[in-house]
Amino acid sequence: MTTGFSSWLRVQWDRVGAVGAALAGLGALALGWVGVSGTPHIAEQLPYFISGGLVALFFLGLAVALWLSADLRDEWRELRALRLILSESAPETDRADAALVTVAGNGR
Amino acid sequence: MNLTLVTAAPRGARRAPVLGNDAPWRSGDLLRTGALAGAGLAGLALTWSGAAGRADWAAELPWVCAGVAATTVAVLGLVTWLVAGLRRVRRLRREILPLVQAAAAVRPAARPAAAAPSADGGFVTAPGMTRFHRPACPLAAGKPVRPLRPGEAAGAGLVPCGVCAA
Repeated sequence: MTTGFSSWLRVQWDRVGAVGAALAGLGALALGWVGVSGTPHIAEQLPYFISGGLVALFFLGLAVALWLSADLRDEWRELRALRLILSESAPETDRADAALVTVAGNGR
Repeated sequence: MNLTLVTAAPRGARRAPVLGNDAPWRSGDLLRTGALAGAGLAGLALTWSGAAGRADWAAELPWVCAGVAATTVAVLGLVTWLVAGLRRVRRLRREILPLVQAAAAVRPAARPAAAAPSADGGFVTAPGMTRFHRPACPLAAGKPVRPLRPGEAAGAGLVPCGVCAA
């Protein structure tokens, strides 16, 4: 059970990181709100705007980026597997498919 | 299509890759994103430090504006990461589309020949193939397939087709 969960954590590290970043962002937002609401002086509130609001914004953006990049990676792997299956099942087009594999493998 | 093996988490699996052939990003993407996000975070720390040391809010405003700019730079770094991945996935999808169309455009007249009964559990293969298929598999249709002989799959290192789930 523990081994399976740790394997899942390793494979899904980016989605776990996304949840962690979202929690960190919400925590920063809450701390910023507590800091801002605790003082009537604008000069004391503005640093909380930076450390709470802007940092929270970054962490929430990081959470979205991590989650979407995990989806993109999964789609990439599925498409590559599909291409491998199609190219292996069509021997007459192997040469052209091998060229495609090389192109995608190099990116750009 | 049965592609569950691709995304399933096998026992003892390694960490999902960020770079390389199993991911749509290259080292240049990681460097660019890291540089922008790092610069943005450093700017945020700097602006917080600058704003926190002052007693006059009017003197803090430039630091707040700089903090907004630093956040924008950091988020821009994240956006470049996503855009790079999205562009490569779309390019790969465009490359695969002709292969899928070719597999789907197999002549229907060729299907009865491929559906001939076989000797080893109803599977067929063809010269040059590294997988064996069910006779009705669309990826075997139209190919010069022959029935799989008993024990041939293990001996020749043939693996089941991922499409017909042989």
